[in-house]
Amino acid sequence: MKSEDMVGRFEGNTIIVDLEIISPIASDVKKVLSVTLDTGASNDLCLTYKEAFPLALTLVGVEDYTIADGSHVSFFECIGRVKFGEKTVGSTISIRPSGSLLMGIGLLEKLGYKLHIDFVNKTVVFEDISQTASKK
Amino acid sequence: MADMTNKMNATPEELVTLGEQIYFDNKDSLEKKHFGEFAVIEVESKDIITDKDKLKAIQQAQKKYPNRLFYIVQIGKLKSQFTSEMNEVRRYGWTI
Repeated sequence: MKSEDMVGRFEGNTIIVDLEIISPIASDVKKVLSVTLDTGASNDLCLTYKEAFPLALTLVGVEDYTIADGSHVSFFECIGRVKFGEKTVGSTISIRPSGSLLMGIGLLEKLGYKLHIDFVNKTVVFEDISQTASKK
Repeated sequence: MADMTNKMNATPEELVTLGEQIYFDNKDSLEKKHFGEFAVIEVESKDIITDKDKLKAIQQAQKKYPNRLFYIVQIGKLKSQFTSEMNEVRRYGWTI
């Protein structure tokens, strides 16, 4: 594991990651949230209203998603910034009244991490492949 | 039902309905040229901005149409348009 790599943690069989969510309009408005990694979600991030509203995210519209059962659901869509380790990226954030806080694979792609999951030893490592690529 | 002629004051549900209509009116062309990309639709002008990166598409749309709300969809993901008869089974994240 390299110094720039990050780790997640298992809670039961769920993988949890601590992300800092930052307002796009006020950099001092931010909060660290524990979110569930959802490798079946193609989007960046999904938060509840309770967590999203105090963070002054910018509402940009509504987005139609096709969910696992094949049906369509529309969510409000916001933009904000997300910090994980030493990296901060712009992110789209779906918000909904209730439910789990979810990190999708879109955010992993933006952050430039390769995911290593060991279900036996319950370890999760985010390998910084953007660093590796830039060093080559 | 609210007056949908003033699209800038459309409710979120109306924004979805109008956005879907514009998407399906252009579906064949969008899927041929931009399959898998994101479409950000400004429903008043019916302008569709596409990009592989959803955030970039939104930022382009915001630059062109400041202070508007947009309908966003990944091109190729919506298979069928909701009809008025199907509206009772339409699901909105803000009512779940």
